[in-house]
Amino acid sequence: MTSMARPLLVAGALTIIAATSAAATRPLPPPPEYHAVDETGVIDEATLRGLRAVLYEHERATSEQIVVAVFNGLKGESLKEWTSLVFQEWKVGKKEKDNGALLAVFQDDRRAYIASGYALESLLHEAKTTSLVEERLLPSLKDGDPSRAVTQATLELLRTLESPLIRNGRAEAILRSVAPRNVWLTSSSGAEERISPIWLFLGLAAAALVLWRVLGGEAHFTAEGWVRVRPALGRKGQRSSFSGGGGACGAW
Amino acid sequence: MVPGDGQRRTVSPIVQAIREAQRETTGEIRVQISRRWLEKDPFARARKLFSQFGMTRTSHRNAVLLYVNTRTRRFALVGDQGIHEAVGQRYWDELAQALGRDLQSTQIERAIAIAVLTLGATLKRFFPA
Repeated sequence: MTSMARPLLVAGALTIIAATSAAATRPLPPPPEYHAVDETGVIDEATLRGLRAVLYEHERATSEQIVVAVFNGLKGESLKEWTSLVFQEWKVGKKEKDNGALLAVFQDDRRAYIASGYALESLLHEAKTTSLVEERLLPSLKDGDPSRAVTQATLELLRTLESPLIRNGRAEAILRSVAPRNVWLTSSSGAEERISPIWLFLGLAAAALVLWRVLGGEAHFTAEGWVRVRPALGRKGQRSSFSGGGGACGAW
Repeated sequence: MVPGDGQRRTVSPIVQAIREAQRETTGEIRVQISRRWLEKDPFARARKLFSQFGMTRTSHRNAVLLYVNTRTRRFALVGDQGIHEAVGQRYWDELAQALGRDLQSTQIERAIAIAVLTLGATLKRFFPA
């Protein structure tokens, strides 16, 4: 990607940090060829392909350069500082615009951080990126499902950036086509730990009610055709008496 | 009510049977298939439905409702006054027996269709159109 080779205009604060921090003992990795890179090998091929496709299209649509990188471990480095160094080294983002972001995942430490350029800072401020990582990435990462973790986090990142690929559903479609289970929002969202039992009970009761209404449905056939009738919750008032006829019943 | 598959490419065999059965009689036949869980008395339910559907409002009181609960595997036949007086209790008992045997041996829809056609033939004999 030649765009990454262009020098990046760094905001003043980052320059200071870079200048004053001690040189990282862990060597900085070389800039990647694609928008998603995995040095650990834990991310499956399909997910990697999907992420690269999605992020490439996002850049084409918005010029924003989002990179996802999965590393083995921090090896003693500071999470924020080392990620920011990598962000600068790789020159993520367009030179004039400073509109890049790097999602760095450290598999061994089960930690992740999002470093971003000045243009995206208002959308990707500290509070937002922290909660994004905590809610969308760490739960799956800690569950031993890094592919799902990065998929969910990337989708949420794109949502935060209001990517056109989210609006037109393409991001989800691409990622779902390579690994549908990574896209499902299930209990790994992390929010479940905070649901108190009462809500769970009410939720289950509501679901049971819906299921009952659906499964208890009846079909009514006449010469005109048949219609599905939803079960009535007891019609006390409408009973006109039926008398004089006959019939029988049976079972099988 | 929610519209069902009345416009399906192939018409349900039950609907076909009802149309055929009602063709040459003034009588009316309806079928209700239910999947209720804990239903002890399908006959009582069938009678309730019969009045709810307004099936007593036929000029000859010759409407018949066949109610089948596929969950409890029970069914009930309910015929209005006019047809009941014409055929007698034994008719219902025998029809119920035959239907029970058919339900055991063939698909539910086909068994019901057979019963409906039988009813149709009976209605045509006593209440020709």
